[in-house]
Amino acid sequence: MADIIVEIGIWVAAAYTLMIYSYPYKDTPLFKFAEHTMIGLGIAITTIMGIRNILDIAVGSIVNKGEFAWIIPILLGLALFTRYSRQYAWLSRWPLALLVGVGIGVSMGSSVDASFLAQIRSTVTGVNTLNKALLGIMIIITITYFIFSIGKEQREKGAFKYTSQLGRYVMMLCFGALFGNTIMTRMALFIGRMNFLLFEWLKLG
Amino acid sequence: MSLLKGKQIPIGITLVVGLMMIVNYYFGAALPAVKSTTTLIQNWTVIVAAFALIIGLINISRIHINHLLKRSKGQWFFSLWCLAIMYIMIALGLFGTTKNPGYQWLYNYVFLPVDATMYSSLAFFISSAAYRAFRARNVESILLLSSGVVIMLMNAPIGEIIWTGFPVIGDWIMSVPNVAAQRAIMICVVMGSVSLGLRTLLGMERGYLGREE
Amino acid sequence: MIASAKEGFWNKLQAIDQRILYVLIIVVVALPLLRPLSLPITVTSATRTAYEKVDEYSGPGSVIVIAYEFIAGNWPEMGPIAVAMTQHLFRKPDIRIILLAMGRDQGPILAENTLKYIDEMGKEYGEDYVNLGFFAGAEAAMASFASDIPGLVKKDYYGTPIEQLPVMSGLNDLNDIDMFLCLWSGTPGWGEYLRQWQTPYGITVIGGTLGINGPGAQPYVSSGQLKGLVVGLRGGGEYEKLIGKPGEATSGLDAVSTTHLLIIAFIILGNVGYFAGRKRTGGEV
Repeated sequence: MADIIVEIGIWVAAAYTLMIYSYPYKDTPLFKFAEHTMIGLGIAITTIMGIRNILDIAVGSIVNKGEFAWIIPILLGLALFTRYSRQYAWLSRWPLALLVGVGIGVSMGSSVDASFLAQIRSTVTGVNTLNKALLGIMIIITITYFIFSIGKEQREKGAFKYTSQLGRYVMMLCFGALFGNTIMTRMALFIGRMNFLLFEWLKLG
Repeated sequence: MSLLKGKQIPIGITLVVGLMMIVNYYFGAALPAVKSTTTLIQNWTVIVAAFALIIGLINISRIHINHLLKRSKGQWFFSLWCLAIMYIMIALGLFGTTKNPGYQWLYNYVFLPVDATMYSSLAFFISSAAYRAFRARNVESILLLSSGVVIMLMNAPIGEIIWTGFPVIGDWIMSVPNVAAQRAIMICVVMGSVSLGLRTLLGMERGYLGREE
Repeated sequence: MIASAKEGFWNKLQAIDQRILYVLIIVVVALPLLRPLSLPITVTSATRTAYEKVDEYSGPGSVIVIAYEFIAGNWPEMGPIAVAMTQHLFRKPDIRIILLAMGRDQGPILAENTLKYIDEMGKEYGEDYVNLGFFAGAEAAMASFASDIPGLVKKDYYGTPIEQLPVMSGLNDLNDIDMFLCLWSGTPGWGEYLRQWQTPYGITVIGGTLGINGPGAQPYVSSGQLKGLVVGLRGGGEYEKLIGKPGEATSGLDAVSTTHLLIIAFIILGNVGYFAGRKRTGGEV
């Protein structure tokens, strides 16, 4: 019985796969059907995870441990739904403000250290190879490309003209690397699906 | 009442909470009261964020119920299906738990294939773009395409067979110019995001609070 | 006559029906899957470093956290990386493994899918490893977990209270975790863990990510914030070779070779046609 359910599942998966692949040929109702299935299931999974968090963490703590302070985030969370009421929509701004405040606060605090100081530290320390020296020079000339506060005249005539142009060239090498890796990712995803169609569905291997 | 309904209180909440998080990062070890309060607020944020996840369900339901009620031509059947599959999955996952065979089956044999296939169809479009759009018109595009080709041949096992230099040059591109440009962009982005963050905390950016009533 | 015929050929080549290109892609993927070329896979220094660092930081008594921060759509590329790296850790004796997700709600079920492909080497759920599920809030959840694990974590993914899971005993904050394996495909992902876990606590982090994220993560490898990084299907195939368990990445790399050659051919042909067409029309496109 389990084998039959798995086999049905494989055929359903193959059907949905081919429905999605009908899109590069033409926008068909089959694609639209598969698309709506994906939206419905995706939202369902997200909702389940959200509800589980509320029940396991907040409600569970209140009921099992008597930690009544968890009522506050539950009330704030419920306040989010007032956005659908004209009269009480102003209440939904409070939990939003909490989310934004916490989000900005936790990320700002460490981003200067993590993505700014640590990167600069790594650039200027241990410069004992040609590549490291080249790296430092390339970083500086690339940054000059982003200095927009300099007047147009200076950007077009001074040394900045050459450094920012060189900076563009460095960025093109970087974007080329990104492009090459993007090709690998896109092809890898397609290879995975072909693997499924050929071996799990059609059983050719 | 206008104070309650206005934006001053939310802006105040954003400022106080945001500052607490920043102070906690730098001085939390020396200020245990701040550390414990910020941890409590972070825990509460997890619950508020969990409620925010449910907003998506409500929005999608409203849109598709609207289509059903209006019997929108060419759409109402898809809306009906979307709502049906969504609520069936929620029922299975909540009342049957995520170990429920039905939930697992729907995820592994419907959602995962559809999601994976949706992303994989980009392979077609990128191949079409490679043929029609990637033109070596100037120095910059020549650099971009050359770098891209070298990286592709570095990633593909056949690249090393064609020429052993491809992995070597590819490795250099990844660890020198790529790191240089990424680092430069990162440094600039952090400066921008810190200034935007400060503006938001100080109430100069209010877009997240919606329109004035 | 001949000139206009050649001009017509180049224009026709430029305007080729894209469905022909799609069919070519399908053919160059299907053929090496059906008839493997078995091209040799050389392990690069990047993947080898990641493998060695996983070995180094997962000694007996270690507590390891694995975050599955990717979605079903990325499973064909992230799945092999997740399976290979998780298998590597499950082979280690006397370690505790905590699976979780804080950025992607599909993380827990993809962790379950990963476990279906590995040999658990006698490890028991609840004693040696646990799936804590998903925590909403992304960066806030990461910050909360890092400073107070019992304050946030009440139950596992299956609803079992934490007190009943010996694997979680004695874990108070991130200082009690020895190594973090971050498997991510976008945002929220490594960037957030970098800010909330690696930077404040200095935890050892090894990463696995999509090819498309590889270049963006290199600066962190260069600065030592990431001790090792496995990138894309190529990295997955190399890691499978290192653990001696070929899987989907290994079998897919032949098709990576053929598709990449085809894309390069498209680029060259497209440019040749473009410039030849331009030359014929006196520089006008």
